[in-house]
Amino acid sequence: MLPLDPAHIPGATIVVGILAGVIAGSLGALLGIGGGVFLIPLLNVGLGLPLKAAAGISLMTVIATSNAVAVTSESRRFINARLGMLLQVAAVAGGLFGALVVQGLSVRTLYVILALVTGVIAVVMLTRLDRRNVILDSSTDPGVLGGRFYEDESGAEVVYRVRRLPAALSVALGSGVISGLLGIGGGILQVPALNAWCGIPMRAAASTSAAMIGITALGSAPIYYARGHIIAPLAAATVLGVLAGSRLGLWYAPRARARSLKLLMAVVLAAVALIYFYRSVAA
Amino acid sequence: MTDPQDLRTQFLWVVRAMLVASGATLAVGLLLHVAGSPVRADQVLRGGLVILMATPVVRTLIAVSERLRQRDRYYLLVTTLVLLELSLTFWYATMHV
Repeated sequence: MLPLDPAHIPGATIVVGILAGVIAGSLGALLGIGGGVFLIPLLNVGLGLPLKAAAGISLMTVIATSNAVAVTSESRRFINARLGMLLQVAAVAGGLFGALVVQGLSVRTLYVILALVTGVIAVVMLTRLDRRNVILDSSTDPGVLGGRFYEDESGAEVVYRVRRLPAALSVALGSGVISGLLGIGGGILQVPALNAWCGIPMRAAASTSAAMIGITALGSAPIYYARGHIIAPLAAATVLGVLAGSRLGLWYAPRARARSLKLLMAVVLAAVALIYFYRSVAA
Repeated sequence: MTDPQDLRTQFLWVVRAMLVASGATLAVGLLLHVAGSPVRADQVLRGGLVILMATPVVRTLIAVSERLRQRDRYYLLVTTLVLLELSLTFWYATMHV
């Protein structure tokens, strides 16, 4: 572990923080999952930051990425705000709960949770590479919570209904708890689950999740801030890196194919899971 | 059908302005830190982080004001619940600084 004095962070560490932000931000924006899941290993394993400090910085970048997504027209057309805000009721409660209980958990327990969560999602994504939850008939009624958007790939308007709302709410609550515990946005759980269980197209699930996780993160970020877990200079470096990186990711996103997005997501998550299983054993 | 989108275009500039303000403040704070004045840097950086954390709240308030004009009671109720939860978080954070 590096002995880090918040008042004197070396320039080299700040540069690494910016780079970690650029990498996490571009991948996160591309996948609509906020980037925290990439940033935690980069800061924790790469820079040797304690997990809670990495989580605190990650929550800040999640808020920044989410803000950026919410004002970008490319993503805005996929955002389903009515569904997103309903899920937010559960997610913010989970975030608050997670931030409160994280103090009592051992580092090893947190490693195991992170490894399990990412491992499970990687498997889910790999088994669902070619599934599409779209109805290519614009006369379909999307219902109270569903939505519609124009998809470039099929050249038609996509309409979808929301299935299994209790499942969606449970997923939002769970991802909020994970967000409060680990500092990852929670989109890592929400996007595949909303896609797999609730019939929401990948693009809509990703954009809605990306826009809402900033508010989910706000359910726990002020508590990390108050506890002094957020190292301000490193948080600033990482946030700026993430903002630059997310612009890069959003610029490329319309060209990315849904299948390759899922495959990339699964591979990265599997790698993160392996890293943390190893670390939980080594801890 | 009610517009499922998040923010209306005429208020997007507020969120954009806050995004730029927090980014600029954090950049200035970072430069101060690298330049070797950690105390002033810390004050500026904290300001930037607070603007950053305030942005999603402002975003939510703008969205709900738009929905008020559309008389979207469902959205108003749901958003109020979320804002109540967030004030619980802020309350806990300020009590435990």
